[in-house]
Amino acid sequence: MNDSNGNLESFSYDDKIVRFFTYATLLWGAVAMLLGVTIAFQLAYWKLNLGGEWLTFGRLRPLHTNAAIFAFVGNGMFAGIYYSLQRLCKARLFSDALSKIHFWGWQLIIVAAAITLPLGMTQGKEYAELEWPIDIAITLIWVVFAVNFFGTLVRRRERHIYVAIWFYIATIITVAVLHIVNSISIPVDWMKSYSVYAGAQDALIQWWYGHNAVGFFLTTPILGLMYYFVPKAANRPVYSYRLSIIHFWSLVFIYIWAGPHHLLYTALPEWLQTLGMVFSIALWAPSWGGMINGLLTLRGKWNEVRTNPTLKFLATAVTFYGMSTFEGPLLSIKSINSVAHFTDWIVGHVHAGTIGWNYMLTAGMLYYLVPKLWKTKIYSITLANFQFWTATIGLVFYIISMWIAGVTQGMMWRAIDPETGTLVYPNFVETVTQIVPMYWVRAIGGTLVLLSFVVMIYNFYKSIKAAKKEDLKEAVYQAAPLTKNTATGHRKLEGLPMIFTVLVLVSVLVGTATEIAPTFLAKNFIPKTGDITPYTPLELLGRDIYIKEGCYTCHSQMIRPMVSEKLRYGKPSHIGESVFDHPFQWGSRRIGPDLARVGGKYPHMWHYRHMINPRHMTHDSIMPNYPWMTRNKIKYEVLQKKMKVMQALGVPYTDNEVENAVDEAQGQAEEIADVLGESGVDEKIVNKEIVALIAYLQRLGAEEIEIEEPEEVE
Amino acid sequence: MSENNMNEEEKKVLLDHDYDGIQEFDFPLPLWWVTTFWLCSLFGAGYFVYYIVLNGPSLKHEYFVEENKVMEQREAFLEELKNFKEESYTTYASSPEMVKHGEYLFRMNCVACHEEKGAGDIGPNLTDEYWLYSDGTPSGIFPFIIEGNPANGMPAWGEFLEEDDLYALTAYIVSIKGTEHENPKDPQGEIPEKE
Repeated sequence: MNDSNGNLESFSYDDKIVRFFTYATLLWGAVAMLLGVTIAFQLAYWKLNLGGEWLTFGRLRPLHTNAAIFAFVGNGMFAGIYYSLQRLCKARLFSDALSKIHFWGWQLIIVAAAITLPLGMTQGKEYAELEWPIDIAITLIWVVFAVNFFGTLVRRRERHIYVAIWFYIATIITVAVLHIVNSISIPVDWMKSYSVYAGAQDALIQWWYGHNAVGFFLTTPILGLMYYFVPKAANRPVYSYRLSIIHFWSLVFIYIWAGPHHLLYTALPEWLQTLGMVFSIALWAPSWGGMINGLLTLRGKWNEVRTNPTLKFLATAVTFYGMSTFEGPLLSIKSINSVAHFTDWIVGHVHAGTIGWNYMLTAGMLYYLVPKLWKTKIYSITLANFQFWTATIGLVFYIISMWIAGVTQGMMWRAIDPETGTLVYPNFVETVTQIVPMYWVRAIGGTLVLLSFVVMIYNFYKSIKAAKKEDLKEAVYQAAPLTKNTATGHRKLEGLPMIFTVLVLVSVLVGTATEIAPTFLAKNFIPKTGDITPYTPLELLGRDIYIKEGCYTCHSQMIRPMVSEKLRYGKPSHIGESVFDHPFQWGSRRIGPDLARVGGKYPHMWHYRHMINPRHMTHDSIMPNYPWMTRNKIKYEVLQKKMKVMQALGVPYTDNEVENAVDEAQGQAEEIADVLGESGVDEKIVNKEIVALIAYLQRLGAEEIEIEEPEEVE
Repeated sequence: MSENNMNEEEKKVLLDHDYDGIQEFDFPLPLWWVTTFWLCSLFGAGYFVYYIVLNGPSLKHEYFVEENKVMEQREAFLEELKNFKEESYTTYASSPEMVKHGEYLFRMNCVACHEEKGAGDIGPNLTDEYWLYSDGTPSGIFPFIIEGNPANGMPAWGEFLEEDDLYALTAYIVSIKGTEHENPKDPQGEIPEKE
């Protein structure tokens, strides 16, 4: 390995940081799955919400998703990237200090999330719930990661960067863009802020973020890890270099466009919805390119897949990756989406990805890494096999129960009696009771997955315990310094990582700009109707309670243009109706009914009783009780500040309205309390949260804009 | 990675490169994969052109076509349902079993607002002589249940319950007239004039 002058450079690898990230992966993986199991049982049996403020489904679900994505997969990704990057570059990580800051910073962010989300501190945007100081911390730590990563690339001793590194680059660049753009908000105080985007624009940006968080946090880095660990563990060359090139660039270019498939049939302009759908379909082949390269690399090694836990987990992960990347395009076809959207089918789809692809691939990677990092042997192959089957069976329970639940509920929602033109299942709760048995099956499946993970932790604990500490000294390697880049074509580009990075950035910005720019530039993106007035001060406070409790995790505020939805909820939502919604609350799942037009549907007293115990009003409801809303006081002290922030965001409150906001709000609270008083509620209720929430709920849909009937309809 | 366990075909496409021991073949792209790629992309392009560029039928269009049809049908159905049939009612009212069924329906659907046995709560007392909207007779109560009073939070039960159930429910409500309660809601509305 001499260069022309015969010079050799010595270096060592920092594996200590990889061991740290491995520990963190195991810890947070268990936490994330425990949270998942908890909320799964809460849906099956509502009493498990335990009556406390901090542990309801609405507050724990965001914690579960954040923990699974950013804590579990995040730490696993960092472990795998730092291990493989050093070896693929023949260079030590750029800075040991930055590695440590990256590690501890990320763990602190996770701890901050675990504290603030149960306390109800949230921006109310899915997978981006964390409040602004934590968002800034994430940005800073991500920059630390990027500097450490690109610094290592600069110091590499391998001229060309391997395909795994291409995927790491795509991850670092795109996640930074996504996180920063989606999280921009104006603070009210230390733990409350409002998104600068509202309504349809916010929806579009949020799902551009949400979809591509799946793409560039849960997919591209893991594909990179696949490209390193599958050929290493199988000891076989990667199947096709040119397939790597084609599927990498097509994936990076196409993925970013597909976000609006989360908003099919919503009030988002139809050209955007259609773009989202067609790019999702076009994404099928690029995704499968990765699967082909993964599985065909194992050619001739399938006999080992049976006995080697690393290969077993990796092969299964790639298979589930193939399954979910087929299911994704399928679900984005409008007619299929019209049944599946807002149902558990989507939840099942997501978990086929996170458990089947992310967990399985992480497990395979760790079975490869742990013996290498600790110079030890896997304690028990039998336990690894037990883990594999427990996880697989648990996942199958999960996916199948959610398919059944999703299709059942989706079909029940839309069923119209052809004789009478009325809904076959007019009671929403009927469609819930019908699928509760599936919630039990899912919860049991989830428990099996958690159990499998705990078995892996035990297996690694025993393996690591058997290792000798003195063996962990860093070995010294030698390699020639970087040679000249004499290659041509794509290979030449692989020798120019900075230019490569710029091209990746350009690729993801094309789709981003095409879809998002019109929301800023087009004057008629949201027709100016002038029919919608901003929330009253009390309604605004009530809305913040709605967001704090995570109501959007179970209730949508988006009536799709379908007759069954009109019969159940009222006229289809109009894009102009949510122009003052910072952030938008269209939702993604209807565990309970849509609330876009719930205003005026029930008397105040109905809501009062319903919040204290939903079963008073709807016998079989699975919604938690919210009795603390009758005890917690409305926080009037931040009201003016909130209105000023809204003013700054373009909500047309006059200075006078801001000035008198508290009086105005208290006046409206008294009106509501008086009505409740007629039914015997104590007048002390007037300054309690429930009054503000009722004000907000009664406002929803009270001002309607009709969607226009196209001319050609007779 | 040794070349010993590779076949001839593989040795031919093995690239002269090695990353931490990882080598790459350069097998051609599978034909079915390339075909899928192009078919999906072409379908997407065609779909976009037809529906967006050439203004094909929109989702809204689809919605309004169906909406016009279903709403008409539904209106006709509810109109028909509201026709009070004296004979049907008498059959239900004279059967204790059916009144009992009406009581069950009342407990499932109505007590949340009208309280146990219709003593009144969020909604009015149904056992006193005062009536807000109907005249308190079976032929008045029946269509009112069907239409409800959505403005005041009472659903149009005609959409939720079958015709039989509506008669049974009416029979039960008539049967509780004049019953005594510990904590009845104050009277609302007027005493209807007898014809």
